[in-house]
Amino acid sequence: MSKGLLGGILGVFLAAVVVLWGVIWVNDWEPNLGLDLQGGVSLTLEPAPGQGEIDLEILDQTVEVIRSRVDGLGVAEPDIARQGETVLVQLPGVADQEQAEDIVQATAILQFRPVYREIPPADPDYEEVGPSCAELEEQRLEGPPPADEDVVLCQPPGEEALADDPEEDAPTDSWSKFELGPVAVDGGSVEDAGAALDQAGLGWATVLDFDSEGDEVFQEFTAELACNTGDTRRLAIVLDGLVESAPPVAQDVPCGQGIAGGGQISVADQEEAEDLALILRAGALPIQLDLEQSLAVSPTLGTDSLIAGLQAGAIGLALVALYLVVLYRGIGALAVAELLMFGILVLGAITVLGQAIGFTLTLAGVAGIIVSIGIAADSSIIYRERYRDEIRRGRTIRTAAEHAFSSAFRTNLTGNTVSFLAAVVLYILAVGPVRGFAFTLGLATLIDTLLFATFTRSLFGFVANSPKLAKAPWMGLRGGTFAAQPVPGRAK
Amino acid sequence: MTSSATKTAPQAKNTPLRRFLNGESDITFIGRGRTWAIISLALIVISLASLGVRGLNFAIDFTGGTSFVISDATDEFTSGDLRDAMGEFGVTDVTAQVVDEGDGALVSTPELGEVGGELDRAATQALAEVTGADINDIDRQAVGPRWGAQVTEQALLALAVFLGLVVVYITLRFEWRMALSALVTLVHDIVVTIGVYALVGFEVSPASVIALLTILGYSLYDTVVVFDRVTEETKFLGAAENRTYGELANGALNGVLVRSLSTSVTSLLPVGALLLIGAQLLGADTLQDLALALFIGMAVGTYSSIFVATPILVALKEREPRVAEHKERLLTQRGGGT
Repeated sequence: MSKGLLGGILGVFLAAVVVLWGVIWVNDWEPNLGLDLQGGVSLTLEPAPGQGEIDLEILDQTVEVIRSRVDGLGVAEPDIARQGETVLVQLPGVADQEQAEDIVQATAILQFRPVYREIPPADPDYEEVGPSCAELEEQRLEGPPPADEDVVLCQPPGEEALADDPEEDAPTDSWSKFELGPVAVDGGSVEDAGAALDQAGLGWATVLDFDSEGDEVFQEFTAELACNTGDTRRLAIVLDGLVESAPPVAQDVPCGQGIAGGGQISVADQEEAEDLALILRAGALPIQLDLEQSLAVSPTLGTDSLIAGLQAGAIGLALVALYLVVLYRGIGALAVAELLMFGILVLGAITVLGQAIGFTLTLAGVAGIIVSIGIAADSSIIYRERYRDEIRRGRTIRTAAEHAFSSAFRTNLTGNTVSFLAAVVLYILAVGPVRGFAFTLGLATLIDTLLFATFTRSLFGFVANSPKLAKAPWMGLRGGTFAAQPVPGRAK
Repeated sequence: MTSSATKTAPQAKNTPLRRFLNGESDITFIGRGRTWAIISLALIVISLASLGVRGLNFAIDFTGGTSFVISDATDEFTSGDLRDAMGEFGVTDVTAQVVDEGDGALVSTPELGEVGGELDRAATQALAEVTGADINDIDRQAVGPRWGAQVTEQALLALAVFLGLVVVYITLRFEWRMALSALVTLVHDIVVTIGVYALVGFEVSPASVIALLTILGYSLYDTVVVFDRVTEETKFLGAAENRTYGELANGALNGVLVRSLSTSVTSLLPVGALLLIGAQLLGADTLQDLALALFIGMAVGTYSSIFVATPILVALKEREPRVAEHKERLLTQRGGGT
């Protein structure tokens, strides 16, 4: 390969690295740190045994219920995710482990209350009536609203009451307030709920079944409501202190008679009917979840771990650099440049992936990076050993560098394939901290091969192609500088 | 170490170090296959024996249980006080350790009722009273037994799949004999590393499992590099070659010796740094467990790629008729003393 081409590769590569870090710098991105590095609470939940086959869709709904509760905690970036049948709740910065445990485990409380009045944000009384919705959100964490008192509760606007994406929720000051009476029927009376076409067959409805006692109470309750008009004809369905829905009793229900044999709530479409049914069934969460792991890391401990990881990485890098320079001199120093470039690329990739796919760097991930220093150094070593072999076989510096590259690259590729394979298998199959480790290890392996084919090759080749540099004894390229006497019997 | 070769001394002395750095050392690895086999067998027997006698000390992540990291303690206390405090909750198998010159402690107990349940919380409270630490300075990790079982199961599955894929890959890339040798080598590494854990009584945590898998990766990488060289050296094994397969393989091993050792050194240096830093850090068990297992495993891995993998390969290869015939002929020629 000609000197110009090598220089070209080197230039393009360096430009790419500058662009990578330029983007990071301009956007002021930082790597996502895991809980164990910044402190917080991590909870792992699993469906309790004995519930038969777990319907993943219902499990997803459960995750949404947990998410909406956690949102009330005011955590900056809660991460609630389902992995297989496992639900992971990561709450960075949260110090109160017991509160977090209570919130995800709490049984959802369902209440039916009579509506006195709905007060939309535009209403002049909005500010005066009850506490603000933001304050009410905080109160929700402390438990359900008192059952035998009149209360003021809020409803998030529109369909967002059952939002899939909580981040699109409207701000609390745009929520409607409701003045509500004491609880008439509670969730314990609900036996079942489902979605069905309504009686007219025109739209969708959520059908409710009560136990016998609940049936009676519900009939009395609706009999009273049916005598009213306007807001007071409505009944509010309250879940965990939020008004989920407040439908009026249908016009054809006569005053004093009420609804017998369960209720029916007309809604817009099938999806809404199913969502509401889910909430109504949720005397508990749709699926009973057990807390399987609860882990708290204090912020100081997290920071200490991060610093320790960085220190270990720096010391490791320095020791490896020293070793390489002692063993290989100038081309050992080139290897140090390769290692530094490796570090720069791995850090850059982790930062960008943190933004792009939400990758989070954990302590196990840091360990993976430190381990990968060895992999990166090995690539440099293989190249230099191959180079020395080629020189011993009597090649010139330039052709030796070329030949050494192709054979060393083949070895690198074979070895890294195995490492990458290991990382992928681990990432897919393992649970817990192992995944974070596998991710960084796999990433580092890819970067190592990429670096070898571009930066390492062009840097080494560039030096080998430069007569001045190649001849310098400190560079360690010439045969005489590393004890490579021609072996007797082999022609130079 | 290479400074003796300068312009003024063109004919440097032919020292062993020099030959070693030149890849011209002539250490007999293959011929002494029996010796290495005995050493490895002895290692395996010791490992299995200690595993049988002492068993493994699994962390709560696998068995279920609760562990506490206490920092900023204000009262005087001993590890006995901590154990007594936990004894109140009816658990016996408690480990307690005072660290950070009395300012901190590590405690772990078997399962305390439900994860995050009343017992877990009462135990946290009790530790806060004994140590005088604020309850928010006590990091509690509770693991349910079902989760622990799952972690173990998944790790074993990952290991099995990994080994399977490795065999397939090496068979395709090289040949089945190499795949088999590599597999035996990996099993050797696993058994010996686990043996060290059993013998010394180190705790097996998820971090140790990570480390074990990394070790396998490294050992395999090392083995693959050696096999790559062996394949290259024996490419032209035929009538014209006056060395046997075993001798060629031995040459290949000597040829990659500097790389093998250098790689081990450069891999161990960062891990050593990790071990050193991790040891001074409260609660960074992950780092330390990992570093420890890596340190042991890499040593074993380096040994096995040289002393186990290739001798097995040669033994297998010399059963192949073509290779056996070639060896036979060479030995007869040499015996005939032309």
